Amino acid sequence: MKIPVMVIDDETVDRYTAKRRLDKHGGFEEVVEVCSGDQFLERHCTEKNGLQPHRPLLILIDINMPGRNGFETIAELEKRQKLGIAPQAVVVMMFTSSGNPKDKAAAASFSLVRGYIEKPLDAAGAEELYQIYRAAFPNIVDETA
Amino acid sequence: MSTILLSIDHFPAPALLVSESGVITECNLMAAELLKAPRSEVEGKPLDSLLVDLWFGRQNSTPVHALLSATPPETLLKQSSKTMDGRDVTVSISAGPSEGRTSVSYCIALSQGEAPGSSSQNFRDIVDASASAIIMCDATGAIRFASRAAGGLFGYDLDSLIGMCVDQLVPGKLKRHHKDYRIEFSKAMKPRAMGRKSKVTAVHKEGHEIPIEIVLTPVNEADAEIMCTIVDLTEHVATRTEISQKAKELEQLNAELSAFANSASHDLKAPLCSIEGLLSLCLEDLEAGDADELKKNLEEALLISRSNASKVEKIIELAQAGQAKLHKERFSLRADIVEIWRSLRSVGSAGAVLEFDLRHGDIVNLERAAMNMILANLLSNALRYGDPEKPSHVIRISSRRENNQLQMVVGDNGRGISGGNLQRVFTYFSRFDELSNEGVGLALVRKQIERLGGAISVHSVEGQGTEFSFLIPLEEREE
Repeated sequence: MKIPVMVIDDETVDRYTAKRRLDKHGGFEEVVEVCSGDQFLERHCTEKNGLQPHRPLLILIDINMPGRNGFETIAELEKRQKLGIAPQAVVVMMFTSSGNPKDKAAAASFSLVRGYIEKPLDAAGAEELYQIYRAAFPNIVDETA
Repeated sequence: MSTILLSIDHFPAPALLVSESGVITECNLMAAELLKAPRSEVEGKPLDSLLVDLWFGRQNSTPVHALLSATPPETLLKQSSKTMDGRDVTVSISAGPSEGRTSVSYCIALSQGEAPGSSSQNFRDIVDASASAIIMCDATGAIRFASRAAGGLFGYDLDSLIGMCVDQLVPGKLKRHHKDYRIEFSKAMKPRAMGRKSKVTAVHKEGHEIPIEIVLTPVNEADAEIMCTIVDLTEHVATRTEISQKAKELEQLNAELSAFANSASHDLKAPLCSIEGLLSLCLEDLEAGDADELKKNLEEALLISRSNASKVEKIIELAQAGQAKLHKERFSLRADIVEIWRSLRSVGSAGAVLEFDLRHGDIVNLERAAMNMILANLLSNALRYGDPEKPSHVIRISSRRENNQLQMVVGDNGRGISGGNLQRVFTYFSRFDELSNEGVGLALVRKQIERLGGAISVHSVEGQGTEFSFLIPLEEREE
């Protein structure tokens, strides 16, 4: 089976790099690209039964973005999940060039966030994403493996 | 006799020689001056015909000469007296003259002023020489003595301080209890210092409080007399306030610097990571022989490198802003605005209109480069954030001169800034959407305006427009 994946990042080139790495890995569905946290919330977290992928959605999200930053977006996502207007099953991974311990600590404070990947995404990074997702949803991956 | 005459003439104070019978036998020049009579008139007269109220303790009514003869030699007696015209003098009677003389004489030294003793003038001189204010109080709190510095410190002339209750110099909230404190102190009579660690203030005649340090020293236990030495801490407090203000500024600067370093380092690292990602893909494209993709990615990497070199320049500019003052020059602000507008318009946004309402009297004396940078940034933002849904894109620039300040407003009818973003517009590297540049411009604008001693604020309604208002102080007597 393949993992549905979304990349939320304002840098076109970073989305491109991630997309190519994930494509090359083979374990992911075609990458859904979103330009900012605000755009993600607007497009995918505004109505009931909006985006409800057939499998839990893997989200790679940048921290430093115009408008809501990555953390503000995740906080808002959590709120909207409770209101039932956001995808319920998600695995969120921070996807950033920041190695700042403060950012890592902030990421760890969200229950939705399962990992922290530093840019650029390489082959090893793509595999790590795959494994984290598997660990989070062993049944889903195994049933079609 | 000549030896004695010599000695009394050289006595460093007014002095008389008095015989056993109380008659003045010799008078030196200073004594004659003090008594306001020629020496010839003084000599030969009974002592008590020139000085009144003389008594020497035991027998008040005893004539002077009787008293003198009863006084054992070697003893020094001191007594307050008055001259015939009512001036206070202090009389010191010292031991008889040298031994072996047939008749006994007494040396009488005189000094102007009231008791307690000839040392009182010296005491005043010494105390007045002190930089500290000194007052002496008795058991009732009445001020018995005040140094000149005390008068200066509290704003009173010395005469009105004498006799005043010291409680009057205590600030209102403490006044009620001060009497009790005084009584407590007079019981213990131990030296006490206040004001170095805790805050102690005294009240000036005009009502304001003065920070002081005060030391209380009991000087005469029997009379519960207390000497208060007071140091004015006004300057000390001012210096301390200034230092703590400076420390606060430095702290703020440090925080700003570290925030700047943080965002700068992150923002410089991010594009390098992007380039790294692209180049690693280029290697793969090269191996795979995909020349088109390779070229595309190399070009992309090049683009990022270039744009970030210019970003680094901006950051350097930002880091250097707020340092040395640049020279001012007189120039036409209007002409510069027109020039800035022309160069901005040539880049694009053809439909925008700039409305002028400049009333500052044009020629200004300011740092021209800084003013140009500020206006160029504000106008370029206004141009960039036009609202495509409105039929016209209007930018207004207005100015006034008031209270020696240049006040300017740059407004537009553009798309406006949402409340959340409005808080962050002046923060380094805050970008809000795809129209944002590096997120340095407004941070730089604010920094420059603050360096020039001014301030900037922003007001915006989403969908209606944005208004940046700033003021910059102008120098006195400027046209």
